[in-house]
Amino acid sequence: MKKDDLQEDRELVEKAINGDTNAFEKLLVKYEKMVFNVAYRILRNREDAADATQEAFIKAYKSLGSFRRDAKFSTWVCTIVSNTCYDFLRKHKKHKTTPLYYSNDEEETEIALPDNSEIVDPLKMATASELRYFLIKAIEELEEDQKEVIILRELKDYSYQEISEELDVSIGTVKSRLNRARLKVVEKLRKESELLPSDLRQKN
Amino acid sequence: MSCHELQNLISAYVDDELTEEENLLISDHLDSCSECNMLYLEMGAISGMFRDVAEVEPPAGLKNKIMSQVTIREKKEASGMIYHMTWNLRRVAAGLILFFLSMGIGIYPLLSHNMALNDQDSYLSKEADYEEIESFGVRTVAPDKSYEGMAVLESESDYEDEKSDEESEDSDDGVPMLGIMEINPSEDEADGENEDPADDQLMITGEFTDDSLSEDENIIDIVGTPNLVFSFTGVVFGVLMIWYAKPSKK
Repeated sequence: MKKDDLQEDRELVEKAINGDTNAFEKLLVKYEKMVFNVAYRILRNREDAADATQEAFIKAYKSLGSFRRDAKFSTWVCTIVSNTCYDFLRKHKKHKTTPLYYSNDEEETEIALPDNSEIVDPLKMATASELRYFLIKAIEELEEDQKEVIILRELKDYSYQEISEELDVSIGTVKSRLNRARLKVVEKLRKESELLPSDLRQKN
Repeated sequence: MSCHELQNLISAYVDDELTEEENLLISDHLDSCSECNMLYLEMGAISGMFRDVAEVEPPAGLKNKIMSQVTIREKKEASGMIYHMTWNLRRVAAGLILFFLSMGIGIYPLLSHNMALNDQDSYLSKEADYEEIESFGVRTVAPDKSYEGMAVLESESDYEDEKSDEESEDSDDGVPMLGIMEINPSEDEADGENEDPADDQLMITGEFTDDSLSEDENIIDIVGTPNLVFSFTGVVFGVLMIWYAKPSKK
């Protein structure tokens, strides 16, 4: 099933490259929800996530030619959407250096609001959205293979087993790659001064 | 377990992907090493930052929206971007040719007429001659106030009227407008708000040139109505064509 799936994607990509929009539509139908959810996890706003999804698919369509044949379309399109979301956040960033604790940016509360499944503490939500921004920034700065593995883990919620299948590498490789990726992210976030406030540190 | 060893496993520990044995070793180390414990807490805070929301359904129209954009793109691609660009370039080129041709048709008779005037005027003193040549639409400095005709005209003209209503001025004062309309067909004259004294001088001296030699000539006589109409229309269409060829936003 998995192999067939992979083969099917490759054929669809091949057709889409040759101008078959129906083939691309099939890929879109297949991965729309996944891509939208990745965007939603980063942006926390349905409208923005829809825009990012659209942009990501258009980007993917434009750059189908540069798609590596040995890669998986789903992973590839995920890296594109996370990059699109990062661009989106960066453009909408009003202040980067304001300490998290005083952050009461309206936009941030807006991003946080649709996601009020739990009790909303504006201060904490702002802090979390700020942290998400720097997290996605750090992820975007990683090397490609580390980026892939952390995106699959954090944004697609894949298990180590699933990641190993998706990327066609051993579980040991997944472990070590993810470990290196996360160490780098922590290092980057430490450089962004007080990005890991004590209350967040104690949360887990 | 050393700090280095722990750092190689910490991410899997956060994800609970280690064996029981490894877990025990790590938790022992974390209890005793504050630095590693800090790393663990930070990594714990990071992991799952994005995973705290449940899966949602994408908006209903999203797929079609994306597909319509893809299809538009594909159509463009099919007809070729270079082709599109050439068409825009062609429009610009055609627009520019039309623009300058029309300007030429309008201005050339004026220029030749003015030259003829200057030739006729050659008996005048050098100073006056200089004034004449300068006077056709290119003067940027204030003219010599001591010059006789100048002073008369200045006192006669009502500047506001000149600017706001060209035609009535032509008929009322019998003062022809030379060159003004063609040189600047749309901007300065139309808005009627131009308070720049240099412009006023320009107009006056233009009138003066013509006025001093022939009372009856005006721009329509010199250029001819069909030429004038053609020139004006051509300029407008030329500008429109160039405007239409500007790159679209998307």
